[in-house]
Amino acid sequence: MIQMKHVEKSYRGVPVLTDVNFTIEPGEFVFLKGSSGSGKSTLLKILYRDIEDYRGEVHLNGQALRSMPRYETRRITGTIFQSFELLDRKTVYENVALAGEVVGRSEREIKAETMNLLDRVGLAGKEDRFPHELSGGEQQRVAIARALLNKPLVLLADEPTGNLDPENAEMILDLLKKFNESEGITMFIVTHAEELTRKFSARTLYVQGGRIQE
Amino acid sequence: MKITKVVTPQTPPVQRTSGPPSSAAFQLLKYYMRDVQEGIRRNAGAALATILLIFISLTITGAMVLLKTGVDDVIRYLNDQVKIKVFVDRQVDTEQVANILAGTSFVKHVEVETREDALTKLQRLFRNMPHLFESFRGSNLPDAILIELADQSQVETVARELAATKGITDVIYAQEFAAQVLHWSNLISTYGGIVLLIFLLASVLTVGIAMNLSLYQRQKDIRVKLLLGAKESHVRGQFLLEGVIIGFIGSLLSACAVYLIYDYALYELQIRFSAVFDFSALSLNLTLLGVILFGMLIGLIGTYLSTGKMMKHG
Repeated sequence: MIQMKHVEKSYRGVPVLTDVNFTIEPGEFVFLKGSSGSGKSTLLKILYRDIEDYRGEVHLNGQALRSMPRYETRRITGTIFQSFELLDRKTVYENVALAGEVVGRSEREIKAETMNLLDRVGLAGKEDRFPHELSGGEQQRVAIARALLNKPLVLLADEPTGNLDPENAEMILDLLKKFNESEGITMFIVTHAEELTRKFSARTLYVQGGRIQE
Repeated sequence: MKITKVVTPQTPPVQRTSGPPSSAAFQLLKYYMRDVQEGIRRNAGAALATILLIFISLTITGAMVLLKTGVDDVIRYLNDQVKIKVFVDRQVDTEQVANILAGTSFVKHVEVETREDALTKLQRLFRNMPHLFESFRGSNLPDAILIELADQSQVETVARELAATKGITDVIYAQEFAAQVLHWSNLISTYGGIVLLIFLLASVLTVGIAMNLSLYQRQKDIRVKLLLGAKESHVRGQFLLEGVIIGFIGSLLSACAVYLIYDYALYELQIRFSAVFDFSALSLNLTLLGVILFGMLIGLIGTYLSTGKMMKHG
């Protein structure tokens, strides 16, 4: 599903990623760990095309990343972030529905899918709330529902539990694991929560000195 | 290090949009119209300022275009006046006299105004008083010779000499100020165009600034939309649409103002001085249409310029 070959990235001459090679199979649940500034987020940004100027080859779903339009990459990869990235002026429902709107899905389809996902992430009945009326854990669950609305093949998570207390953090990882198992969505999760991830029997990649180690 | 690899069966690729492409395009348009509305509401101050400047610029533009038509009418009227009009004895051949005058050094151009030409002019002059025109129709109007001089300052001297010439029954010529009016009209036309251009450039810049402000306020919205898989062109299209709508509102108000200027001022002029002014309905409608189209174009260009950066770094 995800393949990186000899990927290199540097900022102003300082190398961050050096000869990165790894493959993630379809349906895998993979953690990416490393110390702060080790290049974990950079690696993820390459995958969701926030960074385009890198060396090496990246393949997603068997297709070279550079050969597909950026919007197409982003339609097959859902992304969630530590800061949730929800729109404050939109309600929970509108935040999730936005994912369907930008790709031109019908209102009926969006409504059915949004309500279903909000129910599955445990936010049924809170669709009219605004983000600031929710806890951090709830906001992240809204972000997960939004990322999954267009049924991506891969979900990329950049420190999804970074802003959460341990209880909520575990709940979020549980939720991601549940979607991974039920939908077969490939999960690639950047985290530095060592203790928390030990509870999950998952493949773990480490970024050290700009290289990937397993 | 213990490595546990969990591999679950791959799900087949999912259908991400439903219905035919045109249906998706219609849905997108609907969502964008809603977002445009929200964008204008959220950025109401800047939108109002832009609408106001477009309104001012295009009202001045429209009014100047109409006035230019009026000035052209005045110029045409005065042009007739700066020429010397010579009536010759009915026994003398008008064409022959015209040819002789054309050969003299003080004459630049000569033309013969026949009875039919004179009647056409009178018809325009008395278009609101047809009964007066009818009284001329039956009269025995003479042919006339219109002389344009090589040197306008010699009008009086030449007119006196012509009046004393045998076979010439009457000489009519304009006052000196007519030539001066012509001179100033030309200057106003030229510099008016420059002022107009400055106003229009200011409008485009204001639209650009308003859109930059709007883009700044909605950076997160734009980023999230792009992260969710929106096409850059669609996100930009939404802003272009917003610019066009702002331009349309401003220019529609201008068109109303220009119409009122015509109705209250120019139409009155036309009624009072029908010999001079001739504003046709076609030129008025074309001006109003031009104002509206130009406003939309200003909105489009201003937004296009300000969103260019977004396309590069979105």
